[in-house]
Amino acid sequence: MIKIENLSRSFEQVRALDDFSVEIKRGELFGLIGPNGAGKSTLMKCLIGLLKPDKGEILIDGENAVENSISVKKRIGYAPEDPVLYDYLTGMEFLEFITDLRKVPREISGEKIKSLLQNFGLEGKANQLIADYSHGMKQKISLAAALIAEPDILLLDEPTNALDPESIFWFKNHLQQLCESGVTIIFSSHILDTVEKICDRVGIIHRGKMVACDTIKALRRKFGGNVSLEDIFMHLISK
Amino acid sequence: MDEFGTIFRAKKRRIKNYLSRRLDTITRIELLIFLVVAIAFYLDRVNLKLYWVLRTGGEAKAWNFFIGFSKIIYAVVLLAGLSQAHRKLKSPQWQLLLFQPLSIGSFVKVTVFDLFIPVLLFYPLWLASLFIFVIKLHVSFQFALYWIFIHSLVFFLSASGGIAGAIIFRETRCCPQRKIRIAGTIVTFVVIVFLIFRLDGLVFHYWFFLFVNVALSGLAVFLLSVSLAKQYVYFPEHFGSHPKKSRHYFDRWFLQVYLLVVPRSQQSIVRKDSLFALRRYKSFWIIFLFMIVMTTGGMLTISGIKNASSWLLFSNIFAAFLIANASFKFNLENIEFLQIIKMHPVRARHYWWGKFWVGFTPLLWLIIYGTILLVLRQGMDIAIIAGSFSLSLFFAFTLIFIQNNFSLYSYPYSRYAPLWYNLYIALAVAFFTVFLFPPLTIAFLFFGYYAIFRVLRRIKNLEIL
Repeated sequence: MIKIENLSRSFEQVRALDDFSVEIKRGELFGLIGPNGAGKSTLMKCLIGLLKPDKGEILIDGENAVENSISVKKRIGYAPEDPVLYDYLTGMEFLEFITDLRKVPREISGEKIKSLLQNFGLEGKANQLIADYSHGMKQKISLAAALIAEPDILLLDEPTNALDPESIFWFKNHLQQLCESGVTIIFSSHILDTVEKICDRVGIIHRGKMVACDTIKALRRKFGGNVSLEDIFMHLISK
Repeated sequence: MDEFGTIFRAKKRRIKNYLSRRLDTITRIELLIFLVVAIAFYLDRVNLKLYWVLRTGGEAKAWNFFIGFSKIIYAVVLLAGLSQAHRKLKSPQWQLLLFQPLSIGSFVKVTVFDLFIPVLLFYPLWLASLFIFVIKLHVSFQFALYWIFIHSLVFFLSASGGIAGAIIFRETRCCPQRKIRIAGTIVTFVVIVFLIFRLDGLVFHYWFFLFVNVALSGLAVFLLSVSLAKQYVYFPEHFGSHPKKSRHYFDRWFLQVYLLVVPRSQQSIVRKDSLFALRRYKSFWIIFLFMIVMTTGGMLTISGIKNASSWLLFSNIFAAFLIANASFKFNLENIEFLQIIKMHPVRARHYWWGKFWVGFTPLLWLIIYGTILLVLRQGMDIAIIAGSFSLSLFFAFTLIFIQNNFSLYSYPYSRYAPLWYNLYIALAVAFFTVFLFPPLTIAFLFFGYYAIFRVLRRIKNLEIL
């Protein structure tokens, strides 16, 4: 279980996260939505240890994520909003590099890389330099890198950006399968339809604060029955 | 003026923001101290050398020394102009101008200004050296003015030549069909180089020299503007490389040998950096060239143990210098790329040691190769081999420690980190002064090892925004 309590983080004058709290259960697909600059990426970066919170606590199965960052990172797979990859490695080499960093045995990693590349439709491009990839192909490699070590927790920051429809379809189904097998996923996106369809619960974040957090059904009930997630979002953000 | 002013203001703001946001106070103080010490050291050396030449060889020898010294400076300025312009013309910031509705005139003005500024920063230093010569040689006021004027012109001419060279390179890649103009620019470039190296022959034909300099400076700037104006139409093509399977296998086979000495926990980082480096092989031409020199030198050292040992010492230390510098190019990872390392369970010291082995492994192989060459040839005292080996290792250790510190600072794109790269190269070259002034070794050693603490502290507290 992920437990975030009173998390705050500021950048000079801007409060990116302001006493943010949430609990996410094991095997849950948690959708995180909010306008640009709301604090979604900052939250993910605090969870993975790229940023240090000013205040508050992040507990992953009772373990403090800030104090035990290495052991927590072993359990987390993260795909950032903009894919960060090494241009002069091939897709295959990059994934091998990640499996080596995460100490996945070569016998297992080879098969895993092959199947992920196949599922993302990259099997013919595996030996091409990442510099020559399109934005969508880079995004696929970044997602494959997050999935490859079979982590317990997945942090996905706008993962479907630039993906082709076929890959989005496979990816969405795969995420649901992962949740069924006990993987916890935090999924941030601006595509509200996707969030509405696949997420168990949705958190709406605005100016660093959680303004709503519940299942889609419960949110609909709260906002008058037959409304879409888009209507709820617009209503909360315009306040 | 409006467009030029807007672009210039944006550039000024970018530099100001970069300096105020990216560098912490300690680094700013370090930079300042380094610059002041380096400039003072340089001027002091020039002064001392001139004093020594005047005492031993008189004024005639001092003039010859000045001419030789000028040639080196002009060659350096030419190369500096070439390398920084080459780097800048590839930068996304420059390419951004290509798709804005700018007038060609503004575009040319901005680019020429942008390309000249870094070279011009060296000019006050050169002017200070000229003053030292003028004062020490007791020349008349008129002659001093004339002398400074001529040499300032040659300085700018060299810079123009270098910048023109970078434009030729870029243009040849973009539009190879325009050969005549390119040939014309190459001829100018050659003439510039020729003129610099014939400085001693032409120096007494004042008016001729002055005329040729002014004409060539004008021509170089004109050609520069014409090339830029034409370039405006073209967006540089992307020359992506597609590694063939055979090369892929070669990399892997080569790496197995390469990684033999690297501890297992650091192999993934070394493997990644090595593949990266092998694919940017242009950075390594100097090492291949050096290996040829090393082999030839090793084979020719047959006249006795003394010569062979000095060759061994020289080749090993130079190998350390080259490898450390080359490895720095791919150690300069952008802070965004450190994100890859930071989001996986990698300990700071594993990352740091991985980076260390990237520079150290090829060096070890190169030193072993050089030593074997000489031992096979004539046998060698074990003490000489051990001494040379340890001195080279000390040299490389310190340089690699320092570069690891520099590599953790942030810049917009990994390929464009001129500040850290140039600063590091200046420091690495300054390292050779230990041969002239041995007590400096302690200072370098201290600085190198101090860098370890800085790196470990920085990487631990590093945040990826």
